[in-house]
Amino acid sequence: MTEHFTFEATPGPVKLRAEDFFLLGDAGALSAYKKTELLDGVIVALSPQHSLHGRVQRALFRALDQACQQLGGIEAAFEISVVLGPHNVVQPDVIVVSALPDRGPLLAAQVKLAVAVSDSTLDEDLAKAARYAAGGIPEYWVADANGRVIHRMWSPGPDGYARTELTAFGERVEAATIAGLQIGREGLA
Amino acid sequence: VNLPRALNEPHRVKLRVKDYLRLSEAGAFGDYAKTELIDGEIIGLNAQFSSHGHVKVTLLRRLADAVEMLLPDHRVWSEVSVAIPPHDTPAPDLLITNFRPHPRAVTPVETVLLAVEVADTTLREDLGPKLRLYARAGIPEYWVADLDGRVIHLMWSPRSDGYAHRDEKRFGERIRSATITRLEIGTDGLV
Repeated sequence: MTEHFTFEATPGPVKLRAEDFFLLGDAGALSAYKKTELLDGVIVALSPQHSLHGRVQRALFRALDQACQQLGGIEAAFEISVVLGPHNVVQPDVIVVSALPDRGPLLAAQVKLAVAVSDSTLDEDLAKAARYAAGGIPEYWVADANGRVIHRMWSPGPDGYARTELTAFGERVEAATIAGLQIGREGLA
Repeated sequence: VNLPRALNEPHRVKLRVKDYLRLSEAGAFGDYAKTELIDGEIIGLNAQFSSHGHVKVTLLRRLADAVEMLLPDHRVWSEVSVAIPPHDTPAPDLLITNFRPHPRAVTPVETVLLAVEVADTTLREDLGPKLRLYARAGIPEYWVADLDGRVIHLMWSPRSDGYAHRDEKRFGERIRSATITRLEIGTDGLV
């Protein structure tokens, strides 16, 4: 007897992979956009940044860079694409890494801390925590420029971070997972 | 400045025809039987139902016979990509074109006289976004064979938002093109 198979053939969006995203980027296909990320296989163009975002980003980068130099063995960098998984490539505003590779994309395993600065994108940046956690980034901060607080998240799992704490701008901020890494009161005053 | 809301928020990047072709060449769609670029988004289809294949091939044979007699410089092709810059590259189930085949060239939409879609799970798309796309691109005539409804929708006179004229024939009736003189085929045996 012949067995009859049936199946669903509804067309759906094709998820692009990290290598497709980089191929398009290298070919200049995304040069019309200031900043792009690959989120679940979809290329997303991010909002243009306003001065408030720029000020907070610069202050956080400077403070983290100084703190890294004091500690040694780690460094801060900004706006570098990080591969979180086969279909996700993000570009955090500031990252802390042990060393930047000479070439090629940065992998999640090489990132110790990722920081997103939000002025208009707080909901999206907090929602992105699940992606960062699933990618295995040990610690993720979202600096809310309007609310003047930093959401610090650590202990990543497949669905998000198990631990969250809030620190107001102007208070001392300490990384939960990098011993000795801290930003003094003046860092985000 | 008050930027429009869409520009001020994260939004999906629309891919262009050349981005789609570049990805295709790099093997990015190896997991899919067929892909199309629709409004800057790549849509994948994995497999086809048997009745879809039967109706497509039946219409292909009858159209090809008719075209060979009436329009010797034209051909009927199946599932061939059609470039509609900037953001669309559909592959209609059937089309009539006079484009000279070339291994590295995608069929330009200007050469297409008729596009045909065979719709099972895709009826809503074929009579919605795809209809508007084909009309906006100026494809003179568009047929949709609806497998569940057992009818063929015939559309012609493209406008920017759709086709100005429509007709409908039941499976089994003869259908006649409104824009290609004397092109006529039977639709018996479509199941």
